[in-house]
Amino acid sequence: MSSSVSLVQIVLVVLLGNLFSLGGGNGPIAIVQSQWVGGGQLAPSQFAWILALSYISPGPKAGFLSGVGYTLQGLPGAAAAILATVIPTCVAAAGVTHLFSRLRPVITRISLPGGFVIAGMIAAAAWGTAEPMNLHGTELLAVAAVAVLVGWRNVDSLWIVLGAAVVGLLGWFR
Amino acid sequence: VPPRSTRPDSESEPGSAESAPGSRGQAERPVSLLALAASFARLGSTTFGGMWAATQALEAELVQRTRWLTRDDLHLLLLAANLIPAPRFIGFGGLVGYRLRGWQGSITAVLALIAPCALLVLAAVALVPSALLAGPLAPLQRAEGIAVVGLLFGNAYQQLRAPKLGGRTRLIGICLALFVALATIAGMPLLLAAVIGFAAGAVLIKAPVPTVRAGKADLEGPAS
Repeated sequence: MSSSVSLVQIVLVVLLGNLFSLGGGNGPIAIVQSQWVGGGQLAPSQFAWILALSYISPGPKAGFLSGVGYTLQGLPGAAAAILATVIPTCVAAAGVTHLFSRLRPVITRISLPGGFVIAGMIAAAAWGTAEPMNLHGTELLAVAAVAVLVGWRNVDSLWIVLGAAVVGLLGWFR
Repeated sequence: VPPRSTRPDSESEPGSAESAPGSRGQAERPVSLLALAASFARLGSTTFGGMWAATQALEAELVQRTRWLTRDDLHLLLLAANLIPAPRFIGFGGLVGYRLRGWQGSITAVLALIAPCALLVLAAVALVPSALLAGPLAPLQRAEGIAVVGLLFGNAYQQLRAPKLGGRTRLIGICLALFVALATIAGMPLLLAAVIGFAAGAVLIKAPVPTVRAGKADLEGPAS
């Protein structure tokens, strides 16, 4: 599974994913799901597991890219994914620092519709992750309940993932 | 690039660093890379919920404890992080690091910020074999999978309601989001759907362009 993705591809896909984070959002999640889960290089359950790990870890959730890179190409893959996040971010930070006045109106103009587009991308990623899981009635209800808790009630994702771990471990012990 | 923290305010020129985020109020001495790494590693290992949820911790660390930034600097940099094509919290780290120590500071801050989550995920993925996940731990993995799908749908809704827009503009935005989601589910490549969505949004969704000054007006709220 891992040999079909090269380090260059990892760098390019992560770079692309970060571009779709403009104005805030989980662009890398949608792009990784589309490119590698949709492409069959990363199992949906493995992808969901890596995301869950990032939700219970502190700091920026983009750390999930290290798990994705590792799964695809071992430690070099993890390093490539992280560097593909760090280096462009630093270049952009320098650019924004020097061109703040000029960039802000332009990027505000782009990032306003961007929020809606990214919402669509994340919804598509959710669908793409759920589809191969063949969820049944109760599980679909659980998905809806989590979406309501997170989307409407702003429940912290940390509690959702920890709650799911408890439910999963109960299933394991039964 | 000389460390910004060593540059006196009086050297700022109009149209350059003067209007850059966080260009006012800084320490007199250069910040050491070690101290920068320690501060951002602390932030990366103790904060949950993203940049906006961490604002109190950021203020406590960068304004009150280290005094590297003023409160106004912090607010302006939080705002400017929205302009960087990267996850916001990481973009913020890059901006602060660049502000304090140029390129080296930027790389140091971003790496230190992302390291705790990246290393924890890496360790868990490396130590828990996929055979275990597919076997005895399958119920756990499935429960987490269901939670993540729900989280993603919830995040999509949060993203949808975030821009402070009303009436017709919001309706257009929701239609754009639906188009991108449904087109992708129907088989259109995600990138193509996203590019079409961005292009249509740039034409259809108009917002008043804010006046930019390096002052209080910039700090009134985040650019959505």
